Amino acid sequence: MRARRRSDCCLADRGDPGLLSGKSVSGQLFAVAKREVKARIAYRMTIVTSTVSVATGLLAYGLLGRTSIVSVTTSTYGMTLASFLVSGVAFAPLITNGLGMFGNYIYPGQIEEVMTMPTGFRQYLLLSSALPISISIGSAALSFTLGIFLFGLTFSYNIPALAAVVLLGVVTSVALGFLGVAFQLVYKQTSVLSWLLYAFTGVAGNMLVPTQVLPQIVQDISFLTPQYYFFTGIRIALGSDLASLTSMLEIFTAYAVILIALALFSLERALMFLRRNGTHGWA
Amino acid sequence: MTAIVLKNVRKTFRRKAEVAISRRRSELRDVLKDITLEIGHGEIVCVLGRNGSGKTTLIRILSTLIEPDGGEVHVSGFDVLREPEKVRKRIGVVLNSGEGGFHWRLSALANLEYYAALYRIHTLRARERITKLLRELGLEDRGADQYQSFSTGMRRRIALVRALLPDAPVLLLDEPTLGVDPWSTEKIHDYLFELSKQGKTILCATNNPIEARALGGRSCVLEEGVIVASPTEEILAS
Repeated sequence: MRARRRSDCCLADRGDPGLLSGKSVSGQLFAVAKREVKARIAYRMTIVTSTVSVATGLLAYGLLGRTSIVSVTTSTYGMTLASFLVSGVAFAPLITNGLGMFGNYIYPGQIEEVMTMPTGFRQYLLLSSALPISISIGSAALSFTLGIFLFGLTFSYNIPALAAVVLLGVVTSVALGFLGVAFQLVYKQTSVLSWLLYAFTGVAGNMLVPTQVLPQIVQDISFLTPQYYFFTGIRIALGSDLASLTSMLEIFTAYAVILIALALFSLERALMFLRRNGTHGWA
Repeated sequence: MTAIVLKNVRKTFRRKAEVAISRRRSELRDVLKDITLEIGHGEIVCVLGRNGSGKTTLIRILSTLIEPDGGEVHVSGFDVLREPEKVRKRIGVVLNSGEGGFHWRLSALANLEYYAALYRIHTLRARERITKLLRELGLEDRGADQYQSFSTGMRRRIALVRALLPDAPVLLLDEPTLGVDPWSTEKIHDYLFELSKQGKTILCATNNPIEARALGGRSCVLEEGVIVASPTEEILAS
């Protein structure tokens, strides 16, 4: 048995933080993105199936849209039903993936390890999702371009407005992601939240069905959903109804700010709940 | 100044009953009752105890994962409740939980580089450090292999490499040699002993008296949430 050594309680000051050199956020971002790329390459089949799904979705809705001669979308947004559907399908992943955005980064073993490290939990989530968000934006642009070429669609491109709507969409998506994480950490599943958000908004979110053709009560519900503001913003930026652009952007900004504040508050409360109850795990 | 201070620490959890069977209000379970312990810089302390005695809760409180209900907890002079970010910069942790957040289809090297980034270690320094630690823990020729190809003991050693990455002054180890073969276990014990000589403070939770004996530091026994006594030589020798 080794000789027991007496502790020296005054050996050092408050403890040198070792090798932690204050690596820049960009350095962290690069390292985390590199890992994400490697992990995605490890599942090549998923990339293939996702690409095929997007292409078939575009084809299905594009072809469906072409069967329509007159649509409410022409008078409302100045675009054909095909243009309406293709823009909806192309930009959908930016907002519809929001709730589960951080799902791949919060499995139980992972969060416990991360929560003992100097990188804050929110920062960790944002670092991890930076690449997936960039991929979603790139894929939306690609799908949209593909749809234009496949179906010969025409839009009026207001690029600054489109960029603003996409940016607000990403912020809203991150907020939904934080809400999803908070819900998952406390209730250990997000199916109720997903159901609430997607069961109704599949119809009321203005993604595939123009809200103008829906009953008034459903139209009222649609105003509560983030999808409504995102997809309406996209159609305004790509259509001819520029008069309502400013008010739409103002409302969407206010919605995004409120949602992100609510999401940050919920996440903070969820982390407090975990620290009090020690229930980090689930199966 | 001491590296770790626990003063009258208490922690209570609700018993988690199966919801479908019992809907009555769940009872409370005192996991830690009035724990007081001081650990100096460069000291190794083993907390021995049976399953469910509160060892893991103690490690999780010190590593800022859970909050104590009462008492004071300081690591490297920082309060775990008020200054958790500062505490996290000064600890390396091996938790006793599952696969520990490693990606199964990535190599040990890629996994460790990722955690080095989360520890904010510069990329070049991280590579050097990972290579050095893998060599010192006998995994130098397995760095490029996928994590899923490792045995339980090897995974544990990789978790230890991760905890050692930041070269933190305090190491909190929950069953660090669980599933590790006796030869590698001895190597790990020697390595931890050397680290303590270099000034690292090590708190090791274990249910294995042989481990406590091999590490050679101070030991204490946690029983039903109370530190009952230092174990006798007979227990350690058993």
